[in-house]
Amino acid sequence: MENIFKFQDLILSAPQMILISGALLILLLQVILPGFRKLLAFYITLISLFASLYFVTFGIPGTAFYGLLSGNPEGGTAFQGNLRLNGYIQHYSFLILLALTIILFFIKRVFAEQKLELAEVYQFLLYIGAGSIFTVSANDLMTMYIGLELSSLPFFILAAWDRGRATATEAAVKYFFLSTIGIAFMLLGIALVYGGSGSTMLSEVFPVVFAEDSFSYKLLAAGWFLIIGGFLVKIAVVPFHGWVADVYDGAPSVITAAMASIVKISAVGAVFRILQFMQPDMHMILNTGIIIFAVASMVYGNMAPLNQNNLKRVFAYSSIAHAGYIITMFMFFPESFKAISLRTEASSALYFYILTYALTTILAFATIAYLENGEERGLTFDHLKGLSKKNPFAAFLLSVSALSFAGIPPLAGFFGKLFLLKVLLSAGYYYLAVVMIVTSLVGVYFYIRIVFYAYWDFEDENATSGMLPPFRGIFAWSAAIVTAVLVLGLGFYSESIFNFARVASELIQ
Amino acid sequence: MITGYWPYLIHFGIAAAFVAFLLFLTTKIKPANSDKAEKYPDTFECGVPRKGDARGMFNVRFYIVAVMFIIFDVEAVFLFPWAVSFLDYKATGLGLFILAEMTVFLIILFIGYFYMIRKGALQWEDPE
Repeated sequence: MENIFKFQDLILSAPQMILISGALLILLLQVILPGFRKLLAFYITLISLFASLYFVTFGIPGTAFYGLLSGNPEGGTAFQGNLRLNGYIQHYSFLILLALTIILFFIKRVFAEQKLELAEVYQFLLYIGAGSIFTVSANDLMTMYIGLELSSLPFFILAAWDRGRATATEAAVKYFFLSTIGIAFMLLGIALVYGGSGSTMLSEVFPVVFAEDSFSYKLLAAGWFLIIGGFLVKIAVVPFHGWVADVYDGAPSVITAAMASIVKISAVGAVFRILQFMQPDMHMILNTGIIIFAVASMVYGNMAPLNQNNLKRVFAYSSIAHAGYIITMFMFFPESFKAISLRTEASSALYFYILTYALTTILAFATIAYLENGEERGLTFDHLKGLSKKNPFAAFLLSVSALSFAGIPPLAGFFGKLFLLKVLLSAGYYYLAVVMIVTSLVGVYFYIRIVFYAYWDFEDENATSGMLPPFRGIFAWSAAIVTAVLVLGLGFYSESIFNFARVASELIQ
Repeated sequence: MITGYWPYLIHFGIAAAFVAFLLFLTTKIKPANSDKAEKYPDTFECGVPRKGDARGMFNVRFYIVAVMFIIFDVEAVFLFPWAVSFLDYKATGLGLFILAEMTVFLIILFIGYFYMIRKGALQWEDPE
């Protein structure tokens, strides 16, 4: 038997390895270094994130690890085919690391202010990053599952980080149980796929075509839908959305920002990896389900926040609507669409949408995290009265994120929706496009309501207490400005980002 | 006309008849002067009045010990098949590789263990 271990494997999984080493270093230094301080943990996290971001962007010269910018003709596999590396996966890894870096800056400031800062937070962020990258780059269903666990377990803990509050504990328990049930069904699906085909390796299982009435085909189909269902729990589309409002509301707001962005990025990337191997006749059944789920999510996600007064719940429900927009693109992933190049259009449109959605979500929840202070954490519309005078910067950030969610033209969210609509229309799903436009028009009401409350001159604006502190902290300032500039400006570069992602997604296998 | 489902109808009928029979039997054999159900507001549970809350409080250290047990339990699960197949791997010339793999796993595990010990997970009383 030849030597199974290759040094190249470690190079191909460099971002994950750097993140995990950083996390273990924090764990170890904390107990052996006498003068250990939280700032050191922060800097270790920052350096690990920047290092992996650098490698993901520029690649490691002279090796098979291609970066985002160096082009990626073939990519490679590592660990006996358990990990797959190609340009499209690098795009998702880049997005995960970018979101984590922005969130890290916010967490530093917000948790220090709320007296929740411990070195373990940073370590958990690194585990989340490593797990998410493992999830999107897995070529084996078991590796994908382990990556998903590695990225979910820290979230259960972080959701309850503010452990003095009952709502935080409630959020953690609900999130734990519901996403564990989702993952359990996914595992059952993996077992059925293994039973049907004799392998869990994506590139081995799915090219095999069985006769439609054979037992293996039925096992494979059942396994398929259970796996996709497990991921839909993570993405939170309507039949699986029950946990979203309570969890997003109960968890600390910066953690909600991470939950709403990173979990969705990694789940969508993984579903993409799975669906591109799906058999053509199976995905026709899947498409029916996806259309129903998508329409239900769009309608529910845009109707539920209409009479909602809690700001975090508004954004939580709106994330369901956005999940509905996102999953419409899943219809175009399977192989059979390859011939008409709709798949590359859909995957690059989805990438741009996820990019804008993640940045906007982070901006929205991080701004809310800044505004809530003291014992009272639930931020309602009444608290927003007179915000533009007390804290103009926060009012601006909140308005930018709300308008981008609503899809107002110069902002990034508009271009994301535009690309999705373009794909839907060119594929002939006119009714889905109509539903999307109408429901997002309904949604504009509560997004505009946020802007209205923040900027309108209310007579009783001084009635609310001083719950709104000024925006503080150099890291948080810079992260907020960078995110806001990205949300404002990405729209102008949408075409080039779209084409950039398309080049990567044309080459995927 | 669905004809294949008549056993279910019979099943349903037997179930309903059995419930009706039991209810009828209770009215016949219970003592004539027994108390009304309103006299027992608590949950009916084997006829014994309940004492206290169902939710008991444990010291949090029990959970930590349980978690540590799980960690080393799982470690043993991984170690046994490794130990059983070690000689086979050694025969094929992969002995060093498989040893290194297990060493990496154990190092990561013991970093966690060391962290727990130093954080005082097994200190049952406060030092002072």
